[in-house]
Amino acid sequence: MMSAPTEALEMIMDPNKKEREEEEHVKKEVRASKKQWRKIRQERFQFLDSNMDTLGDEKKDGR
Amino acid sequence: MMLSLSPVTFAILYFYQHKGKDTEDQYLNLAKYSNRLIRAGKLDKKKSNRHSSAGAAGIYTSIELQHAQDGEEKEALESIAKRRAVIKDSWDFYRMICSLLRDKHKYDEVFRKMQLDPVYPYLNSMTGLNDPGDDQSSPNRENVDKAVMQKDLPQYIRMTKLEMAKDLCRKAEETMPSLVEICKALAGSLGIEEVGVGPVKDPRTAIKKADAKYNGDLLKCTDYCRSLLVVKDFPSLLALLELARDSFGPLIRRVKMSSLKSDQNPKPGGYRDCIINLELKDHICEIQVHLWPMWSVCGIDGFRHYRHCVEYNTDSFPDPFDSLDGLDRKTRAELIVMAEEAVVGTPLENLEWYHEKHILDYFAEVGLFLKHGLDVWAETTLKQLIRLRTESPDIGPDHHETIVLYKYLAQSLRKQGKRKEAEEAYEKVQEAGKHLQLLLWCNGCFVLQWLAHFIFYFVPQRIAAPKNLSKLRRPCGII
Repeated sequence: MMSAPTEALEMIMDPNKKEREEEEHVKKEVRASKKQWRKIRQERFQFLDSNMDTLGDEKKDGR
Repeated sequence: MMLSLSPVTFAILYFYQHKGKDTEDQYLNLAKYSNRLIRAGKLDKKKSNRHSSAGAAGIYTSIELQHAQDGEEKEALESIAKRRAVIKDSWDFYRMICSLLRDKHKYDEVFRKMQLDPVYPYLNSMTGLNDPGDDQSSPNRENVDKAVMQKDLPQYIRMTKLEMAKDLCRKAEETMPSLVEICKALAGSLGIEEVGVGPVKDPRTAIKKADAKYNGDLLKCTDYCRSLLVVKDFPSLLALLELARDSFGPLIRRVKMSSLKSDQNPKPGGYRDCIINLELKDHICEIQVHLWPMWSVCGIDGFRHYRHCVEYNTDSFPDPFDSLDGLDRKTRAELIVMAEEAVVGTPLENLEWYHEKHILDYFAEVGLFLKHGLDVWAETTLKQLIRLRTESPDIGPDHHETIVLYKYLAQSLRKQGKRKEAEEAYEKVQEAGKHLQLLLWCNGCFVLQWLAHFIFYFVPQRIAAPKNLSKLRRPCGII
């Protein structure tokens, strides 16, 4: 539903605006969430990095 | 059998005698039924006394008649016993439906809360591996075209289904120790809440599952060798996925996490989890990763809940009381007697918030009262149940279970013409709906699907009887 004449014009000029804005909003939210995960990962699951290091060493050693 | 019915029935009849003729009429069928049973017993006794007091000439006839009457009495008792058994089964079945829907709503509530986790949008944006998502067209929503399958061996062509299932189970037995090691390693690293392994699937169960889900294809069963891990929360799940990828990534064949996505349906019965399939020793195994808040609703009985929800198609209707639709008054009255027997040991006023079993009994009974037009009884029980749910530390006044009770209370009050009280109860329901909307707005969560369900289920003006009630399958001979 359109609430203003400018909105009607916008609909003609850029019909996918709403969808695009929504998508951008979701992307932004996912980015913020990923940041949160990194923080939690650092606090609670630091061993995951050491696990990666061990795996990296194993690969270097050819194990 | 007749005697065990009568005290309760008499109590109910006594109640009705003191409530006026209108109410007595409401209970007509039950009264008729009970009186017939009682009268039948008394008459038989009188008749047999009369015959036994006859003279010597009448002894032979009396004995003959006595035998005939004994046979009739026996037959009558047998038919009463049979009817009672059917009613008992029906009550148990209806009570189970109530518990299945209660737990489904618990899962929905838990998932709604879980989505407030800050890492959820990130998890929700992830795609699994070889995960086709749910398929509504399939009866069990499992995609028949499964991407991950057991290896098809040349010898399977010559084998019968049972032999093939046995061979796959044997392979699963061989693979089990490796899966145990992997689960131990994961649990050790992540401090997992609960770990469980096996048992290996029984060949006949595998055949049954393949028939039901995969058009009989045994190779599509990927859980002959299975284990379960219960992680604390979404961050723990993300950590587990990362650890699995880094530790044994090349062995992973599938990561199914579609049921955890906000835009996807849960499993039948409301459950959501993550499934990882690994290939160990040329055999596909399964690691079920459960989330503690979901897991804690039913624990290990969660699978039974899922199985029953599939069997009785409980997802096709949101209101457990709808399962009583189509019952005649007599059967409903008999079910009320059965319900009274179930709760007789714990009177309503003695009920405590932690008496979950009895709360369920009383809740199921409310459905019968409402359908039978016993709104005064429904009101009394509902008010007490609302008090108990409000007192409960795990539930409280704003929980969906309490709100559902308010909805039924409003119904019963309106039917009695208590408009003001009914409005107050409706307000509670609508307030809860608004509160949820506000919560969603503030958190920007993706729970619109849940909201839609909430509006359909809780807001009284929009409640309509589901059209597909016929999908509710009842066991043969019950109700």
